[in-house]
Amino acid sequence: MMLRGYLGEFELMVILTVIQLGEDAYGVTISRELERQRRRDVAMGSVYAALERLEEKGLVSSSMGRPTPERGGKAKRYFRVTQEGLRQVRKTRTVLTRLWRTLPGLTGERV
Amino acid sequence: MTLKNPPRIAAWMLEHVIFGRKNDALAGDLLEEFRHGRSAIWYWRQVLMAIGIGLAMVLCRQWMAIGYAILWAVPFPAFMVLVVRRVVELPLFAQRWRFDWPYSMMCDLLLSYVSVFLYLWLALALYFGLFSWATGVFNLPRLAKSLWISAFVYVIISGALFVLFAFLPRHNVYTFDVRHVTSLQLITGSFFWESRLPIFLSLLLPILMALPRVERARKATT
Repeated sequence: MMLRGYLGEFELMVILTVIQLGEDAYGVTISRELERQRRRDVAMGSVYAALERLEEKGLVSSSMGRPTPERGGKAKRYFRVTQEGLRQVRKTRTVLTRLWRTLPGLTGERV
Repeated sequence: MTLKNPPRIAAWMLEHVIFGRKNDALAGDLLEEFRHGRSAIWYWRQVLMAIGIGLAMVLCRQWMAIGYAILWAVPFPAFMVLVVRRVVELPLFAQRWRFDWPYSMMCDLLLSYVSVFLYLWLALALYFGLFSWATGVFNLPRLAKSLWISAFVYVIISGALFVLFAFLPRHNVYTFDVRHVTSLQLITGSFFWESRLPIFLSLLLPILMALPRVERARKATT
């Protein structure tokens, strides 16, 4: 069930990263990719909080991998974007693109 | 090859101090990153932020339960002074003064606990009734569980506070006379926190532990 029309800024970043990573999207890879793109530290707790919110909204789903000794016997939790998630991302992109087009002065480095 | 271990206290905190649902995947992810060369400071920062975020999520999700517990905890001193004291002054209860110590004290203690339990159980029954009416979910065993949890929590917390205050030197909370406190002050006054705190926790914990929550009901209906 959708509780809200559009995705929040961080939620959008997380869901785009999950799409980009495909089969290998779990906490570590998502956080590393977000850090690389944002060029700043990411709290893994906030990534999980965003993923939980997205899962509650039905935009991502998760499944557990196998526990490994390198991770202290803890399993990885893999995330995938659902059809509803993809639809929501497209909708958000359409709205944001439309808004950016109304602000030609903000394209490039000029303000 | 021996695997590098994260700071022991931080790892313990991640296991036991985290609020909300226990997240093994997060613990595994942090360990994996730490063993890939992240520093102990990084690990500590991540653990503290995870605890803070978990607490914020619980507060956001359980705002209704927290608000309800506050709503009942605030007027509790007024209930004890305005209602229970009036009842005690009835001829039936005046009999207890004819007993010698320690029986008179036992009567007082019993009356006090019975009053508190009735107050707590009324609040929980009302919460349960409102919840059942709003969601159509009616689970009587959960109500019964919440009632005994509230009584248990109250006895433990009020007992602990009693012992704490007994050993605290120069504790002056009870130096004022309730006869000189107005009804409004009984509700708005901040000096009754030690009687409100056990009530707040004795309502919040059973609601969180026993009664079905709104979010769960939402999930069940979707």
